[in-house]
Amino acid sequence: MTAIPVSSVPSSPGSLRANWRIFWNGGRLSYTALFNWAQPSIYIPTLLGAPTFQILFFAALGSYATGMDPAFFAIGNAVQVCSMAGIYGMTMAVANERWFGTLPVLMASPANRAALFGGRFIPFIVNGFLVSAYGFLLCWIFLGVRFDAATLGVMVLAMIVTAFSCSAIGAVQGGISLRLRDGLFGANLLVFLFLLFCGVNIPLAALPPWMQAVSQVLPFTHGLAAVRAAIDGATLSEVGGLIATEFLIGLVYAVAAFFLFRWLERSAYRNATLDAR
Amino acid sequence: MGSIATFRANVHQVVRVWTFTLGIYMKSEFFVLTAGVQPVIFATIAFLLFQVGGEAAGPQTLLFAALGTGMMGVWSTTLFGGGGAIAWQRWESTLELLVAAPRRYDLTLLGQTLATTTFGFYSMIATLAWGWLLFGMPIDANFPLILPLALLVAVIGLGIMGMLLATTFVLYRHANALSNLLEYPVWIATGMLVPLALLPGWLGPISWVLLPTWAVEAIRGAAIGSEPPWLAIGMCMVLTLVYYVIARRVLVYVIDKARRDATLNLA
Amino acid sequence: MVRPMTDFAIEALDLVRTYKTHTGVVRRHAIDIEAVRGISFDVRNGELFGLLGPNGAGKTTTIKMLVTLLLPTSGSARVMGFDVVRDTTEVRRHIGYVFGGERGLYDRISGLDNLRFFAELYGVEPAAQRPRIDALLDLVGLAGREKEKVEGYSRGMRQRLHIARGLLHDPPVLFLDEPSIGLDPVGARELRKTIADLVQAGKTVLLTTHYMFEADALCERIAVINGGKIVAAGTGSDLKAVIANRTIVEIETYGVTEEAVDRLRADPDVIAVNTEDQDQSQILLVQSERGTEITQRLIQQLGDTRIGKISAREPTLEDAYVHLIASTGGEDGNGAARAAAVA
Repeated sequence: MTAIPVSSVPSSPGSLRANWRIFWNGGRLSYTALFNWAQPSIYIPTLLGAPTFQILFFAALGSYATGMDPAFFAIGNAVQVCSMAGIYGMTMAVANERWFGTLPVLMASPANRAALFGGRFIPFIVNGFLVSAYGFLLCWIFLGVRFDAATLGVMVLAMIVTAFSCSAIGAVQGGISLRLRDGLFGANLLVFLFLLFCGVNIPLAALPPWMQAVSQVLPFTHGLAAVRAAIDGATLSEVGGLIATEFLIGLVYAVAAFFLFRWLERSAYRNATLDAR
Repeated sequence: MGSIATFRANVHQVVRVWTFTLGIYMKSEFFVLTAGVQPVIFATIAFLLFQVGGEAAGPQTLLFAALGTGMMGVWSTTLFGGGGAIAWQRWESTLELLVAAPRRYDLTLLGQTLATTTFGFYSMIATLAWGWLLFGMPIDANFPLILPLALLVAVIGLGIMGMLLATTFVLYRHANALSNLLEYPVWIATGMLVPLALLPGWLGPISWVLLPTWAVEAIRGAAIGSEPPWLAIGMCMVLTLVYYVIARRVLVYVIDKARRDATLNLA
Repeated sequence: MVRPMTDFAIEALDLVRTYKTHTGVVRRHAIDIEAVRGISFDVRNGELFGLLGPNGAGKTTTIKMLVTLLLPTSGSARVMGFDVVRDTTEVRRHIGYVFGGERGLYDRISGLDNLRFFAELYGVEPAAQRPRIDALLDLVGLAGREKEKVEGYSRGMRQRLHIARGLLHDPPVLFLDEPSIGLDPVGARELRKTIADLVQAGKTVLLTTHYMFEADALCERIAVINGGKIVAAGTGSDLKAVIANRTIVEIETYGVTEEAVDRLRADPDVIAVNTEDQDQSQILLVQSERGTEITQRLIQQLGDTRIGKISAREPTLEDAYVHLIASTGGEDGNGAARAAAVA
């Protein structure tokens, strides 16, 4: 064994550069370390296979039950499937820290909490976007949905924003799951509820008024409306308001999640609730 | 031990494991969600979609939707509970104990998967109750005497199918991923909510060898059909036998392989 | 921030930590569990200090207060002069926190990636990260295995990776919470050598353990903690001195009764009797200053009890420790048991 290197190591926790690196590198490493589905043998069946059949199922059911164009349902679900990454992924990113027992190590470090927390979003936003993009590919292949370059641009923007707001509510869910015994219960519930609300399968106008009201404060609703309008030919200026609203909703959830985590850390600090599995 | 006594002992073992495992399921949050909340949410989606469709949302349609989403719940439970059974036992280190026990492991597994399916039928109760409570759906059956038979055949058939899933899934390293994958496709291919007639023709043969197709037919036929579903019930029984034979074969192979590869315990 | 002047790396003053918990399902009422009941000690710069005590004594709770994971109910503590409650960020920059066991690392990524991740968290300059990581891997003997996923690491390897992690930002103070738990003897010995080297190089180390010989072998000073309080403190020799003038008479018995042991305890020359249960027999460890002079009397007081071997010897640190724990746990046996639920 070699002698211990003790010449003082340059370190500056809390500097802007350190926080930036925690945000990007830390976020990337957390994704691999904590996302249960990162390897291809799981990724393909779960994030590509299952969404494929979900889209086909609702396209068939929706058109049979309502007589509407199956494309309506396919598009709705193509947007909704980004929740595979945003909801399940963010929940794992949080709950698995408890599983691996790394929470005390994180909390005892001087790392900036906002950078640590925020960095986890990016991989799941990207992932969610890609899953939805795959969903739209299916719409294009199987259901004859067509988009031109201008439409595509608007859709990409709307999808990124929607993936963000979905991950944000996933982060809130993840925080809640830290205190519950079964981490995935809430995640599953949320994903199913998105199928019911938000205009994914059932047109907003057909929902009872209280369900419409709830949908207005959930992710997906505005982003999806923007995507649908874009496919029907609307321009960015026409749907900009919807995209902005979706982003705002995501921001509210993200901020709520951040404060939730702050509160959880403080509460663990006072009442030692961190380690209970 | 005479063969009658052996048979009785085997039945006894299956029943004991059945009831024991059922108790465990009733306490699991995940399965309460899968068998209760998920089907109810899907039932709501189905009810509302049919309402959008307008005139077709009569009591028959509602019952159709409730039974269909109930069966979807049965399949989900069978898939996750049955398909994951061996993999889960291996992970929690109880597999070794069960295999090394003097009583036959395949009977233990059967008892467990039957419990899974039985528990899954809470989905049916949940969706029917939901439809009745919130959408005014009347609950009655056209062939009330055949219905219990159809249900029994369905439970046992799907339990055996769960056993088949359990034995085949464990060959794949990530059994959970397979469970995630096969939920929707089977809902589609067995015509639970979208009539088979409306699906592409090539799906036909695939759906005929899937037991849930006949299980749904049997239960639906007894409830809202115009004639007794004897064909469906018969096909259920035939497929049950076929699945059982295959499952036994695969199980022997899987356990032997695990004992050879030292993977009976894979934390 | 300018560091306050102090000779002490760690100072704890009257630390208290109480937990609220509930009993009963139908009629819940709250009870307070006192895990740490007023602990004070100081650790000088460059010292290797041991906190020794049985499970549930409050060691982990104490360490958690010092590494800013738990708020003290009352009392105060400072690490490198920084208050653990007011200056948490400063404290965290100056400490390494290592705990034993299987958890605390990300199984799914490699040892190297784990270290890279934590290097970012501790703010190690990017240019310094790779050389630092390489040097630490060499130090803990994991060089060549760093690209493997941690899920394949043995217990010993995990422990070594933990230590490497704790040293990434070269902290002056290291907190090691039961680091050798679950390690085989060879692994534990290597670990102890590494710890000793760290102190040689100028680090301050606070170590908790329930292995008495480990504390004796490694630590310059030891505090014995039981039932949330420090029951003795000093060097190994100091602690042994408490019972240095005693002799231990070991009596092997078969089926000895409580009454017989109580009779021994009642003897005016007997200071304490501790029992050790073996498979078929019970060993009575009788502490007395009179040593073998009283052996005959002891045998008489045991009456009909079947007796095997009898021998007398000098007390070891283990005897001192066992005696301390037994005498301080007995009066408050309940406290130690309840504290076990939370510590």
